[in-house]
Amino acid sequence: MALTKKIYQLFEDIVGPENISNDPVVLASYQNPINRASNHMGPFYDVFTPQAVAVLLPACTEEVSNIIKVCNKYGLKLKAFSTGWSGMGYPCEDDTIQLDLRRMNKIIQIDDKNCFAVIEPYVIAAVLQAELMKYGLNTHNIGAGAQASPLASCAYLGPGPDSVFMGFSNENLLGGEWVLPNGEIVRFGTLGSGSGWHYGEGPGPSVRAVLKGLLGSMGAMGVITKVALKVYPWPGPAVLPVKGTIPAYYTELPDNFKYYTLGFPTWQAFADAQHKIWDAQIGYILHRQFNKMGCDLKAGVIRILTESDRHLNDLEELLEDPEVKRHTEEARHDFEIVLAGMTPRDIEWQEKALEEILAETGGWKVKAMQDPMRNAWGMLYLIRWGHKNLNYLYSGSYEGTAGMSGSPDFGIQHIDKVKAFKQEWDKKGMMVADGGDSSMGSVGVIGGGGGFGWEVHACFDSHSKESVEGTLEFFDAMAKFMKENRLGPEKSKHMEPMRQSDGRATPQEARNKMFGATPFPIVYKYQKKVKDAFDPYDLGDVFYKYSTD
Amino acid sequence: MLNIVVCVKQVYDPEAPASLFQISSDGKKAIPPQGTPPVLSPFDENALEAALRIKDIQEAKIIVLSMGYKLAKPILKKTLAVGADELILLEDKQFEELDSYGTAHILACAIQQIKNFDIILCGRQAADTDAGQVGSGIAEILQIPDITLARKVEVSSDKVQVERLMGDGYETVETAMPVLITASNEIGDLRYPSMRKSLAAQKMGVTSWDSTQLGLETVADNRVKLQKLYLPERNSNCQLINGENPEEMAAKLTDVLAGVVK
Amino acid sequence: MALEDFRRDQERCSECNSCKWIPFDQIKSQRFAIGCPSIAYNNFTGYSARGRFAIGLALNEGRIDLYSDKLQEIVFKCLTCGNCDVAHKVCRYDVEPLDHILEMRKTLTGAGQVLLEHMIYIDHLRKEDNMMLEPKAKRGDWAKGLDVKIATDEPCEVIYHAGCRFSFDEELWPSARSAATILKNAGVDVGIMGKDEACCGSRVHSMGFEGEYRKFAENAIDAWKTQGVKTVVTSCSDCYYAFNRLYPRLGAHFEVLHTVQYLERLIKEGKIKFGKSIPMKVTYHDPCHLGRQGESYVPWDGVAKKIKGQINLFNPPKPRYTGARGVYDAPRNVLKSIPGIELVEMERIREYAWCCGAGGGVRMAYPEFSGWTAAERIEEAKSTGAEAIVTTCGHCERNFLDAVETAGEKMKVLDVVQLVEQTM
Repeated sequence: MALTKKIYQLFEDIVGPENISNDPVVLASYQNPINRASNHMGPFYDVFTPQAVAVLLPACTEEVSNIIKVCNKYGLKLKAFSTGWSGMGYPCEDDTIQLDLRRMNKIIQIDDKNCFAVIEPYVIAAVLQAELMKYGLNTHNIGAGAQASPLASCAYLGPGPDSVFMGFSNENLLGGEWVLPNGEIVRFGTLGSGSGWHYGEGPGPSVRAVLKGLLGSMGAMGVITKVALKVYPWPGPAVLPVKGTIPAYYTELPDNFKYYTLGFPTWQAFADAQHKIWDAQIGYILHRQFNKMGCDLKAGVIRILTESDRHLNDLEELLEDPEVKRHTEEARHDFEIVLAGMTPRDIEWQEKALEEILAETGGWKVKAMQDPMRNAWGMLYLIRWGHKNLNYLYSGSYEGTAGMSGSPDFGIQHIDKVKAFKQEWDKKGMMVADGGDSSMGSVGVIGGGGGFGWEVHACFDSHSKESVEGTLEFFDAMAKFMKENRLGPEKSKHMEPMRQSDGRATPQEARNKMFGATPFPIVYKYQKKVKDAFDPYDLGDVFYKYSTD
Repeated sequence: MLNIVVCVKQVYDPEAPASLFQISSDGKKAIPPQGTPPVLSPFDENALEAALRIKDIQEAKIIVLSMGYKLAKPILKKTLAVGADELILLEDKQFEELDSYGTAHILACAIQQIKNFDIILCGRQAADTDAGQVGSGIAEILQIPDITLARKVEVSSDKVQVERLMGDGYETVETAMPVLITASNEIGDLRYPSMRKSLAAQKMGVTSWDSTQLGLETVADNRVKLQKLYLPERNSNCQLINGENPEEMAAKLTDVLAGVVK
Repeated sequence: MALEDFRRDQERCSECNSCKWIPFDQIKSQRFAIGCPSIAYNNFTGYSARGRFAIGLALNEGRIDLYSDKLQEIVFKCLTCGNCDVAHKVCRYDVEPLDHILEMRKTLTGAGQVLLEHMIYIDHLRKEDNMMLEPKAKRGDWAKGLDVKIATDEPCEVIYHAGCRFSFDEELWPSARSAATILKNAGVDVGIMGKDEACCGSRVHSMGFEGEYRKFAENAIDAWKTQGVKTVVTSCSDCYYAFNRLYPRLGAHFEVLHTVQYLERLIKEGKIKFGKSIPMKVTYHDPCHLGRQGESYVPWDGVAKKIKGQINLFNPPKPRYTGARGVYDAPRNVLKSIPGIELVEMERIREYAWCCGAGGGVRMAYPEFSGWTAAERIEEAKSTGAEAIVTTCGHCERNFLDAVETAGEKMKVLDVVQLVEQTM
């Protein structure tokens, strides 16, 4: 049903006139252009997500609940986002209300004794981290960066660079408050039995599985309005001491913190070291990060980012510098590690263990990153995780393509194959020719270690139709390559079942077909039952994946 | 009560720096200068001031008319801020690039629709085209007297006295109403709006009429065909004439000049 | 340039939201983490650089109408403080959000989609050469009784430009008078334009009135050239920005110094001697136009090029204004050299300082938003325990003074120059 004056008035009565708009200019600013960001639903040049009928900015749980009830009464759909970075947070059908949750931005409680923080949707990780550090605590940062909402990723998996120490977002979810798609407010975990926020499974409703679904409910299963998150020790200063000239910010932390980029002679040594690090239970942050700029380019780019007078134009010249070349070669098989010692003995032990692991695997600490300035920059980068936007550094857009999560021993057997395949495509000039291997990802995709999740980035120019289309062709070719080599699904196709190339929901029949062809088709049929039970009015969209087959 | 209609035109700011002025590549259109809002054509501001001065002394209602397409309301609302009572915009895609004849027709048509009018005031000419035809055109179509180049307008009972500029002075003419008068800058600058009145004007409604509301089935074709717009080229060449003494320099100069003349 | 030329920026915005916050690396608390006053006050995403890119693109594609009240509000309810520009340049090299909003403004003003509140000031400026709604004749009054050269009467190497705010805001006269006096007493061949001074045009430039700005800029450049001026000094950060960043585009080649830079130089040379101590804990507010936008103009005329397939660059390299080279240390050094002064820092400083709320025509058209922005800064100043917020811009000073008065705060609002003169 379209938005009549009467319905608009009902919404306005809930949020107040200043927090609702259906002005065409405002609505245009809430249309996601699917040509650019890595939101796993494009790129499609010159395509936008369908326009919402109105945007609402609720301030509290009760308002959200009342909005949902009006939507259900008049057959409107609803899509909520926290920070609105990912394209999945925007409508894919007509007659949808867009909720922008930015006014719900309170840190409700930090319980330093019991190690949890209670937050609302628009508390971003950088802010939560800054507040937690005052209590000697830290929060898990998801791979998407410090500008993402820790609450939002609770209804997903939410891995990140620190997962080895701090787990996944969904794992860290304790008690919480959730507005169901029928408008009812559910308090889950211990909160549901009036026992506080501290535990996710109860006594009280245990809903984590429903919220997460197969791979996240992606804003299509009601609205989570408050969560308690498990938080972790931060053995550092109460305020990150940040110095330096933009963009070369850096932090100098006490001696109980160490950051290294570790290099290895072979992929096998790279994998062996990961296993040994997990066995030794060392490491605060463990991630293959800087390689996302491409194995041939990263050493040059790091110099540009750590010397504030440099310009991206210096890249070609830098890549000819012998020291940069040495750095590039030293870091062909590399990942980053931050050690944080809880006591002086702890850091001493961790350092020794790392030395031994390097000796056993033939690995080394990449020398260029031991330079004090670069090291202090890397430390800040990895701890605050505030440079996610570097993924867009080259030309405004990128998309994850080949990749997989699992045992490093398996993954590493394929990186070189993928690299060679991508190098061939890079020659066509439609993507950034970064050397073929731009694999990056979390070393420890299971809390405590046990898996390496990597993906290769393809950077393209979202302003150039030629580049976008050329990259799309590459994604198709890579998907075929992955299938032929039994490497699992290609990542850019991740959202294909939900949103098609005009930005709208994929027809149900097509979705049934795609879900039917996956390894676990029964899950999608089961999720239809969950959907029917929890979302009787079909408030959420197709991003809660289900099959009607 | 007197009913006065003032016709105003929105033009590109004639005082905008020349460096911002551009013409489209086909030579048919001036490109709106970025960062320079349009203004009320200065002579039209004088016309409005004339109307306001009449209203200062006696009861009068001033209706401002402006014609075009996608008109700048915030600029035109200045007329309300200084004391006009109503602003009527004649806005239609078809009104976008009319010549003086077409413009006079549309304005006359709107004035007929307003019905009650005693004095129509226009600027003597627009700052962009400088044609100076619309005012008299309206008078002709409405079959009413027309006094051009006014430097002063006074109303007494049912008559209007106008001081009309001449080449070497002015003449005073008198006529019965309704009458059309075109104003010159000697009438005086348009007064400043106060902050309070400006803010009040912002809240005032504006009436818009399109061709249908004016009852026009078609708009007359332009009688003037624009051939080409171009920026005047100003070149200056400086040549230094050297010589031992003034006589020699003068001789050389004569040679050069003779060459140029030839 | 035209808005169409910004399509590449609009289509390359990564929607990362950096523009809404101070650089993520610099966040020290939730209270002072936000960087963009416009989105913080207005909430809808259109009021951020990211949203304005989306709206600019929609305009370029004809998906929305240029003639819309909401569009006007979104375009003009921005302080042009440039936080967005700095915050996203921690990572990006090819997107210019500040230039984009300025271009949007020019597009709107060119189409007459201006705010009446702004037109009141513009109409006045056209007649009276100032942005303060004051008669031109009162321009030189601030300098009455000062024994300083009038540059139109006798030549001088250094021009002290008071600017509209210091010329007409009587409460701020002491700052300007101090500046001119200190310079003269230090032996500088300084003069003022007196009643012949005119607006620098910076403010109208930020409001999108390019035509008005150019008229004033061209006149000032001509006048200074005629008088043989070598150096221009001003106590107003807005004017500094005009002379330092904007005028060189029109062919000006004067040395431009903010008063604090000159003071720093004179202190270093031993030409200013301090006497009495001022025991006071102060915090310093970086004006946007002296700080992050205080970087000098770098001439550039280049074209886009790509390397490595799709890395976007310009040939020659496009100057990168990140705020890195703004004027931050001079005012701090001057403050630190004053006996008794203890300088404490707020959380948002230097290139990621929070704006005072006066800029971009917002104080004229949206006084509540402007006042809120200033009040936010006063709160931040209070959190440091300082008894005074010190700055180097008349516009910031005025907005803070008003905010302090409205809230009944005790916080003192001072200019660095005043403190210097007090100790001499």
